[in-house]
Amino acid sequence: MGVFIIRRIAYMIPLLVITSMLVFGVFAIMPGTFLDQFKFDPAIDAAELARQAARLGLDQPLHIQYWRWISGVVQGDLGFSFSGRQPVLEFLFRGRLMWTVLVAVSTFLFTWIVSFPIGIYSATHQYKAGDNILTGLAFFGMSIPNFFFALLLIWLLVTVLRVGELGLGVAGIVGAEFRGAPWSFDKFLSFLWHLWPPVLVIGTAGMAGLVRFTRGFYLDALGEQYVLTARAKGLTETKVKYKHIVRNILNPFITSLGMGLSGFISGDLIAAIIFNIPTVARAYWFALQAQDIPVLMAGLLLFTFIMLVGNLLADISLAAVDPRIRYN
Amino acid sequence: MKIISILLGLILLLGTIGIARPDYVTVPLGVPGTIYEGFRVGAHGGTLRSAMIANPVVFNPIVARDTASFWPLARLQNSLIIRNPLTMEIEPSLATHWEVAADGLSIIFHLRRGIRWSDGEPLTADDLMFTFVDVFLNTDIDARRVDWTLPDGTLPWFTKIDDYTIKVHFNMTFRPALIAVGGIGILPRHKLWHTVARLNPALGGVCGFNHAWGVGTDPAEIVGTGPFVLYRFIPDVEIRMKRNPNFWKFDPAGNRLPYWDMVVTNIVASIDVAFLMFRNKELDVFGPRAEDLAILKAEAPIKGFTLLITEDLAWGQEFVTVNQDHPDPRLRELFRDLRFREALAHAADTETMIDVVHLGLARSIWSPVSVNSPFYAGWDHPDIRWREYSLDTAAALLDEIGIIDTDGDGWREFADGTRVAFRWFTNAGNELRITKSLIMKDSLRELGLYVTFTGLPWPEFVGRLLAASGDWDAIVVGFTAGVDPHGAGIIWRSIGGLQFWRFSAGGPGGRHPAAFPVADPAPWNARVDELWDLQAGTFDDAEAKEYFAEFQLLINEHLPLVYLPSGQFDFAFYNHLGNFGWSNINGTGSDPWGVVTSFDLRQLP
Repeated sequence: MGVFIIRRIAYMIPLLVITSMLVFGVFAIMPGTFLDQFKFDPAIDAAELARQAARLGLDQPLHIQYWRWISGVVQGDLGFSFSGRQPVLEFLFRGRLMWTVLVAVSTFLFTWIVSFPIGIYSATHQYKAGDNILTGLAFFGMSIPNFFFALLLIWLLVTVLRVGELGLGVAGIVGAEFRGAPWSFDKFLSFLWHLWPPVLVIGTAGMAGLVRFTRGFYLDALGEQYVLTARAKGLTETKVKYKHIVRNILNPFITSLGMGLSGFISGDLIAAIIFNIPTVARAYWFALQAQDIPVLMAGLLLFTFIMLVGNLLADISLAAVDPRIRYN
Repeated sequence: MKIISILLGLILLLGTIGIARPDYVTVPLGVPGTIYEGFRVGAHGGTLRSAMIANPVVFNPIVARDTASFWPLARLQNSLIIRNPLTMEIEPSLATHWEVAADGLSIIFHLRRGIRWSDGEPLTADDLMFTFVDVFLNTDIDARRVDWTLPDGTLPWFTKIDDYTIKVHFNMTFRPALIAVGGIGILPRHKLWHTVARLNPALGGVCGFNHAWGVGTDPAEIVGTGPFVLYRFIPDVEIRMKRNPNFWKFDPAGNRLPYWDMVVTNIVASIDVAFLMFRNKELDVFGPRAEDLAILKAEAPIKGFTLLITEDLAWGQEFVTVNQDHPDPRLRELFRDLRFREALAHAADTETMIDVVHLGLARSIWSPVSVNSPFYAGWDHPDIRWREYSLDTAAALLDEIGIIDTDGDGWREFADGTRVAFRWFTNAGNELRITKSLIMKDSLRELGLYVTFTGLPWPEFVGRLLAASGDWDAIVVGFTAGVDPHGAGIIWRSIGGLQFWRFSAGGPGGRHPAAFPVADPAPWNARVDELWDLQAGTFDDAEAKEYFAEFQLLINEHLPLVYLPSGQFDFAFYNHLGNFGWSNINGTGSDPWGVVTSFDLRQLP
């Protein structure tokens, strides 16, 4: 296993270098630069633009720009944001990482806690009314666009229920009075109040897929010989379901969890924008609009790295939960 | 007896050494005959909540370039002079007064005495010299010196006369210098001197000022003379400022201003979020768009807010223009023909644009100077040529040029029989410009002009306009505008650099000398250049206004740009706010909504 992990980590290095080149190439062929947004400002003349280009290194040939950036990355310096005038990591994560992870983990828990039982229920009640209703609801969650569902929820809260009259906000991740304050019970309640709408919006979008996967894998497993054997051994139905079947259908979910690890760090953009949550994805979106190349480059590289680590962790976890899997 | 003698002696001594009362300012709230007549004395307390859609990038006014940074900076820092947001007149701020020399070659600024920074340190002429000389004129520092650069290319220089007086010298008379120099936010030397390499040898020649007062700085380190001091900044969440305990303005009752304990600016991802927050009572003030008005009008009496629909127009102006340097000689000749541009103006269905795009809340404009500017020549100037929407007039002009439909296919042709066809661009994502473009396209189709419309991403759009290749035909775009039109010299002077519709006017001195080795100006360009020098060369605003009026009429006559309707300012605020003074100074940095919200707002009991 140790050799496997070392080999996988070694593979990551060329993969990241190639990714960085591809990413840089993609951004290099994009028309325009960060300075384009200033070109129509009467207060900024050509000399000022040239000075800013020199300050940001945009007056250099592309290979020099790449070399400067990658040299910094190797030394642990991911660069300096053009638009934010601060180090890239600070720009992306300061004041955002904690909320991003909290929302993402809450959404993940919500999705899994709701979807898994529904999937199993649907599988064990195949084609019955309960199966049809729950599957229909799950598909509704998947079909409704996140932005529309979010707007619908806000409309309901603001216009129909008029929660503002009760002093309840709909934007942000805690009430204004708790921002920057140490955690307290009241702050936690405010956090929960602000958390449920984005969790519901993002969570329902992912539910349908998970319900269908669980249902499908469960139904497949029901026909497996080990289930028949377990039942023949006289095991209770609960043990058959949860010890044998559920454990056996976990593998694809562990793999998808590893793939989605970078999502925990970046978060959902649409919900972040509509519910005004300070997430990493929102900072990245802003950088994309501003053509803030250092942030875009570092962000993509970082998310790729996290995805690779996620995959590695998923592979290790698979070996832990499934004794049939061994890495040599 | 002895104690009384000592006290008397002390009073005499203090009088002798000249300890004077500080030069505080009393804002005449509620005083009849003043612009603050309609205001009332308020009480301390409360939090004002507003929103904006971007994070500030830096709290350093010298290196800041973005609007979001200037929003808090306008409240944290002060300059020597300022434009009053209600009258737009230049008035003293940190300076008690100033004197312009008779020859216009120097200005003496007298600093208020007894003013303290928010951390309690005294403000002196050393802070002014630090800001102007050690920082602004320091080429190591990323300051925007373009506004300070005189027409002859020189910069001003400064001398300190005493602890409260400085003199600024110029090579030539330059009217815009007053606000350019006097409007710079003054910095505390005691907090920032160590970041300037020439003052701090320990830096080893590496200037640290450009990165000083970044958004990660401890708020206690950011010291100012403005009405508020920074309390907290959380990216994508809020900027929170609290009252400056040393602010130097008072109300007539002797209360130190501002009244608000806190000012919270929520940072939202889109204007839609701000709209919802306002409706949910999470914001006290909101600048609505035209499409928000119907909902707000219905909700105002229920939720207890006031919707203010003003007559003031936005500062920026949108326009149609055509490429007079077009590589295709037929299109170049056509676009250079005044009659064609007049036909475009007559084809602009401004009423439909006002109704459809601005929902009725807009007005047609004619001038390159903002209608809000004191230098605007007015709506009723007798020499203005309004070109009303009339497809018949437009068609007649096109016929007169000689582009007519010779083959009966419904499209006009050049004399050589080829169809008159051109591309129409605007920047993708700007729905207002796209809709206006489509309305124009409909009119042009009726006139028999074959136009293909494309919305381009901003970088590509700007790239095409500013490239020497001139790979564009017609566009809709807009410029921002300031109070003093002098700043638009980059657009209007033939060598300014932004006259993209006719770069050739600038010739070798212009933006693309390689492409245009010989200047090819329109006949009136030279007069505009001359007017620009004339207005800058007088400190008499009335005289400058006359020069600007001539300039505006020249543009109106020769029509390099065809202006499109401009939207009105609207504003909504909850009725628990008081002392609301509307100001249309939006766009020049004092207040994003054009409302005086800094020191003269108060919560009514």
